[in-house]
Amino acid sequence: MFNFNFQYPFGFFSVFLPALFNLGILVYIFLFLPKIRVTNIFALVTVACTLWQLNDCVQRVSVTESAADAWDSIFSAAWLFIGPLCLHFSLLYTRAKIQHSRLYTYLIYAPGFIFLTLYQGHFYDHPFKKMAIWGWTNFHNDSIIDIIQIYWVSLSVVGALILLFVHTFKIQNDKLLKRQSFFITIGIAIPTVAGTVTQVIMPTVFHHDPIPVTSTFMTFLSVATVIALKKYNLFTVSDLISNRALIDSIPIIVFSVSTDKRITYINRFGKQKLGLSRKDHITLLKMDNLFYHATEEEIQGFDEMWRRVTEERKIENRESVLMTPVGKINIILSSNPIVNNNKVQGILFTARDITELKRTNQLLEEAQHISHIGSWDWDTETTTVRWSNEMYRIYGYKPGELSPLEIFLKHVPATEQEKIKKVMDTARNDYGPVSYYHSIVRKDGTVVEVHAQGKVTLNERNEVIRINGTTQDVTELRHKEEMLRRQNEELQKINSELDKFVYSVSHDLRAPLTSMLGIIEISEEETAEPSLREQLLLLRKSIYKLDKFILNILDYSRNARQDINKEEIDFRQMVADIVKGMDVAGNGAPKVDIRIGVDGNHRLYSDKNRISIVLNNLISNGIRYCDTRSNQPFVEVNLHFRGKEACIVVKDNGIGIDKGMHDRIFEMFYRGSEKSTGSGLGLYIAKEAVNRLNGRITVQSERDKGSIFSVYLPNN
Amino acid sequence: MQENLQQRRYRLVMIIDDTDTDRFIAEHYVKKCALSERVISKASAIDALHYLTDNLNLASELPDLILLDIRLPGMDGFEFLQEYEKLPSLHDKCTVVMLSSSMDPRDLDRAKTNPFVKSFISKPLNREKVEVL
Repeated sequence: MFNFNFQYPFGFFSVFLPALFNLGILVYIFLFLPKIRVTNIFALVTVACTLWQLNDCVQRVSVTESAADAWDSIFSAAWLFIGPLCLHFSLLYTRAKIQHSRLYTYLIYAPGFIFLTLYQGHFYDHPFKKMAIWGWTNFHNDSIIDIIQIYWVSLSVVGALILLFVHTFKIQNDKLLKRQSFFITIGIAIPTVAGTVTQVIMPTVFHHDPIPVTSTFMTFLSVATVIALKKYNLFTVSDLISNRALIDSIPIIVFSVSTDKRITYINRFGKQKLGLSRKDHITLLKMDNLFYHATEEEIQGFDEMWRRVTEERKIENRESVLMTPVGKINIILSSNPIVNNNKVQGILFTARDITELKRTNQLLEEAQHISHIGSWDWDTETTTVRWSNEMYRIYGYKPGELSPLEIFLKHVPATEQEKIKKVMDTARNDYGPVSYYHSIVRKDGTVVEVHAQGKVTLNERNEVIRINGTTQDVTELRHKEEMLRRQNEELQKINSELDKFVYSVSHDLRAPLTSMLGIIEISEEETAEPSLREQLLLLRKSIYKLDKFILNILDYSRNARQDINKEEIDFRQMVADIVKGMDVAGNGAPKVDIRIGVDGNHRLYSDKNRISIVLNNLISNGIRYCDTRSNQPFVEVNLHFRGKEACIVVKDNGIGIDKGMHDRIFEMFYRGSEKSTGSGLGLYIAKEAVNRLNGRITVQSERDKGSIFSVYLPNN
Repeated sequence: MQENLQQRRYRLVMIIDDTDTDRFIAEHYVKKCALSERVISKASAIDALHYLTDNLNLASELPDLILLDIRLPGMDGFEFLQEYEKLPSLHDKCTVVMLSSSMDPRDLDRAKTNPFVKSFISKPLNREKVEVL
């Protein structure tokens, strides 16, 4: 058997060299190609190929036929299984949908074992023939089993070829993949066609001597496939992801439980969550261990779920709680029956952590509860309506007591329903936002007023699929609004009455004063008696003081009640009028020099009456408290502008005000010193008027040096 | 005396005021300043109106100056002016001056915008104010 003669070097080398080459490819596969099923099977194809080629090597150079037969017996499995292996490879490569059927592997490989047994056991004669050039070669004779066997090998490969061809043809979008698939198809097509013609059809149909080139040609497949796999990146990254890796990496707790409720698997994320180390023997855990804290009620729920999943094979979801090292987490537990061989082998559980979701929901729920705002969601396609818990409470129901639609129909008056229907119809037509008020007769019979607001959601075809929004209990708000309105009305009435009252009172108070002044004036004219004239003057002064006080009160009430009416003010004219008015007021012509200055061409826009009140008080103070010892007492009234602000400055060189009093001079009825002759209202009223105009008033003053009052006003 | 040298500017002055003191003051100055020789005083606008309508045809008895108070019982100064508007034969010959102790800007505005009111005088009436008339 180990005697060789090399009289047919071509026959030997035509297979020996490809065999060496294939060995190289095998090494390459092991070193560089990813370790996944499709490459594993491909490696097996290459192994079979190499062995087949080695078989041919030693067989061809054997000295005797029995030696050739012995070698062939050793290696025959290689060429016998090349067909099924090719088919298996192409099934995997083309991703034909046969994944969970065990049957296909039987179909592919089972005949091989039968044929191998028959072949190796020499149940039929399979002689060798010494051929020119080649040396000893298998000679498939007319034995029917032999023919079936080689047809089976050949058909398997043809099947693989067809699969690959169809696959190549079907690939449309991925040029790379198409080229790669094409390469493999060509690679398998060459030995298939060659082998089928030379070693199957020629001897069996035409009874011609076979030409043993198939094994040599098989190298084409190896080369083409390696090129395809390498150059065209056969394996997308997704091919490299195993199911296990996928399950381990998703952030969901996944665990499987056998029918006796033992945990058989927990994914990596689950182990981390539950605080289990990789080394922990999870198989010692039971389902109950995971939910050791469950209440009686929950355990019943689990049992019920278990029954439904295992017996009715339903997929079940339920909310539950898991204990973890970091505390309780809320989960949604989904259970899927694992059915294999038509039997429930266990249950696959997935648990999604919804703690955060629950917390957010709870916050929303609380916010709704506090603000009495409920939310609703109307799916216009399925016509289902969902309500938040607060929504039920607005209607006086417990959450989920009745369906939202039932409650709505029962507790919203029919006329209101009509109104809402119209609003919704409009919203569906013009996609606009929704806002309406309606009343509700609550479950306990009380009537509340609510305000609903919503928005419309469209799908990609611009059809309304959803209207959702909020409903707020505005009864209280409405009550308050109504109360406010009534109070406002009342206030307005009081205001106008007060106005009339003040007007009448002031008139009726002033009228006699003016009459008295008139009579005093006549008396003064008609007497030359100095002491009488002196007394008349004192009388007149008292009357002026009283009159001034009445005018102050009038100013005060007018400032408080009258609306602000802004207009352009002729500042110089106004000051002149005021000064003139003071003349008339009978203090005698003031010995005080009044100076007026206005910045540039600016105009003052403000409320005439109020500015007049302010100026009146400031100027009259300036005059009244002038320093009689001074040679040139003056009051300077200047108007400056700075940006959008106007500043009125009233400056005098009068007796001044002590620093300690600055804070108090604007107080009501505050009188600074024995020299104060007024009522203590003037500056208070001035400040009030400035406040009403959104301005501010400041004072700078020193005893014996004079005072500067600055009034800052918005000028627009 | 000085007053007598002054020309009398009005033929007949009508004073409408409910306060007798004020009527007295007004009469005093009208006479003192020789505004007119004749003065008719009425304590209410209604009386004044009656007088005017009764004497519509007697040109010599009709005033060419009316000193009108604003605040009057029954019919106030402005209401009187509305009635006065209905007596067109008076409008050319007669001047109306309003006289009031009111400092209310609204009264001032109303008086100023009324087409029949020539001017507004704040009380008390005195020599200077009368001489402007």
